[in-house]
Amino acid sequence: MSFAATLNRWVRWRGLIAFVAVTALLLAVWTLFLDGWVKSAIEAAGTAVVGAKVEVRKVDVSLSPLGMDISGLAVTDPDAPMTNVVEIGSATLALEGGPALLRKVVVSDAHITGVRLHTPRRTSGAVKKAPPPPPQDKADGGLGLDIPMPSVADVLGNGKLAAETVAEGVKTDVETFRSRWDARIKALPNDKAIEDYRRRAKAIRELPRTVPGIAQAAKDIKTLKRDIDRDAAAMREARKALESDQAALRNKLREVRNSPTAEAKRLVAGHGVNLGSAGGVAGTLFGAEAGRWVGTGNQWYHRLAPLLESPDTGAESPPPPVRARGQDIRFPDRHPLPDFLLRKARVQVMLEHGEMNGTLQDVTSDPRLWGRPTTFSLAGDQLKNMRRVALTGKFDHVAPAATRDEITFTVDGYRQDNLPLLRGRALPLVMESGKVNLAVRTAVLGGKGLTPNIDGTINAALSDMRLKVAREGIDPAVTTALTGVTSTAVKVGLSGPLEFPKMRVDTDLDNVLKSVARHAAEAKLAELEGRVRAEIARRVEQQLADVEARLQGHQKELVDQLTSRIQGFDQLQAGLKGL
Amino acid sequence: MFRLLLKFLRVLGSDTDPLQISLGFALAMIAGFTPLFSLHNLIVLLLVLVLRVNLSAFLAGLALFTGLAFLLDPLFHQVGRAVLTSDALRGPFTAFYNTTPGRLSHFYNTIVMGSLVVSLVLFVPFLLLSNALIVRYRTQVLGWVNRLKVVQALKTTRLWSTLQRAQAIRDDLS
Repeated sequence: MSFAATLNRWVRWRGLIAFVAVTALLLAVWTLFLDGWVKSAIEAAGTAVVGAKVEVRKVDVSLSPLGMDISGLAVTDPDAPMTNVVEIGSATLALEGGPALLRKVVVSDAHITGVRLHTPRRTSGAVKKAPPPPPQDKADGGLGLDIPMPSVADVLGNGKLAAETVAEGVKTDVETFRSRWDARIKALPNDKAIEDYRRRAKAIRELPRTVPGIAQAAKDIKTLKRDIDRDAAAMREARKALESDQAALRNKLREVRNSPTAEAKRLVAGHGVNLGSAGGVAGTLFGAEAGRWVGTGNQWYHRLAPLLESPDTGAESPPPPVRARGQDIRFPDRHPLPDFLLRKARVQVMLEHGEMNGTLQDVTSDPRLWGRPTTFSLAGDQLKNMRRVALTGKFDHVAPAATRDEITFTVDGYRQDNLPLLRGRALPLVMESGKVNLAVRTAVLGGKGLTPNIDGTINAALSDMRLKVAREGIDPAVTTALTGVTSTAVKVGLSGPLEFPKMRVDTDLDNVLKSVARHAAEAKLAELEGRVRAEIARRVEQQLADVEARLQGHQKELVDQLTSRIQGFDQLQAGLKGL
Repeated sequence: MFRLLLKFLRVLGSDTDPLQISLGFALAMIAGFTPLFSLHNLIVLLLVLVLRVNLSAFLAGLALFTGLAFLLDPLFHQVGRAVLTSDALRGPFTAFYNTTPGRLSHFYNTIVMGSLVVSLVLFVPFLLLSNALIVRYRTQVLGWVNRLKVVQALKTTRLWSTLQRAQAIRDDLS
């Protein structure tokens, strides 16, 4: 068989045409669907990173010159799925061809316009079940500050109360009073003595009406009258003393019944409840506000941190292969470039107050390889209600062992009506009008295996301001005090672990706010005192249950006895006049 | 699938060169074991279309070996990892890694490398073995298969006659 015949036996020339056609078809399909694939890839990767829907309206990939236009990129706020945390109107990216053939995305230049923050969404962008809402501040009557108050049982303790002891004393006094007066009345002239006096009077009447008889009668009458008068006076004195004793006992009873008030005050005061501990309320209130900012920043830092890290090239064993996907083994790059690199982007951010323009540089998936930190700088001048706003920052992860992320944010001459200063329920404070200068400087220091630490300051200067307490139920004196403040400065110092930073808050509003706290603490204290007082009164009343009735009974019996005798003496005295 | 099976049975029983059938099988093994959308599979496709490889055998083989590949992934991963991390090959691999075809081929993936190595190593033995089996099938088994009632029933179907006519047209064209 000739070579040509052999060749024809094994080669299908029309297959070559079929191959070219199939290859061209594959290329055409690839080109046709490339925009959609890139769009899906951006949405999938973004959603995985953010934890909420990232959507792109349109992607237009151009092969010559290599680049792409991305329109309508919306990133949902994972904490508020009906809001986009950022929306990008359009991003035009110029890609480098050489690296693209090596499966690397290198953006030489980008122009990002129409960046808007916190825009509303038509549909929810949540991708997983929303976490339970954070517990709301207690809607109590005070500031909602955590002023520790002991229980009534703690305050009263296990021992006997002074009021109880006094009540017991009064009970004993009432019984003693009875026995003492029984004895005293027994010692006073009784009915027998009155009968004797009558007998003596009768004997005088029966004396003969002679001169010696009359003289004897006059002498006896004088003696009898003196004796009766003496005894009657003693009786009246005794009744007076009885009334005095009884009044004293009633006073004692009244004192015992009033004693819970004083004792409750003394006990509560002596139980270590310190009103001064409610001071530093400014730290609590502004700290809580700053804490919310730091908390939000912390959440975003942890979401974005993995993107700032260089890929792990350590010698540890690789993860098990994903089925049918395997594992990529990296070899040294002769011209090393990260898998993703954005060399420079011009960014235009549209704020409610106007435009901010700036640049974003050296965004990369492998800062260690690229060797330069990511930097950004945005500024806007002469904005509506604002003289200047600027945001600069640097994310330095070039050395994974010692990373440093810095952000500086300044606002000059910001005028805004009804600006919420404190959002907590304890003391919602609104600046009805005024001017704000704000400077935020933070640095997060971390590294591989290290806990990120924050070091920063927030300085806010408020002037020409009018404050309003946006809640009913705050003491009018406090509201008046706050509304009288026209300027203030708040300085918050942040340090320590990013998760739980220590906050030092200094503000000259502190004195005003301290009085707010004192008021709240006093209200709680008064309420505690009331409960302690009620408990003491209950125990005292238990002791005094029948004392009042007994005293009443004793008094009636004793007075009746004395009155009856006094009446006897009155009759005797009246009878003497007839002699 | 049924149509493919019928075509395959018909091809086995036809007077097509056994080598063309076994070459179709062997190339299908490469394309089936390795991830389908790999750069080297363009070369396989070129060979399948340009060489007079039996397309039915290739397509039947592709379905069979793609299914098998899922079971063999752990083996491919192990082999690929051993090859890619071999010190002796580090130099050439590094050089290839730094080229555009190197990156596009995705050779540095353990499954791609492992499946390619396994299929290339098995290529020649498999080609020879399948060739020998086809020859033996035609001489020793085909007569018995043709006498099977199920095969005779299949040959009465409209699909079988359509396939016969299509084969005749294809033979005329080539």
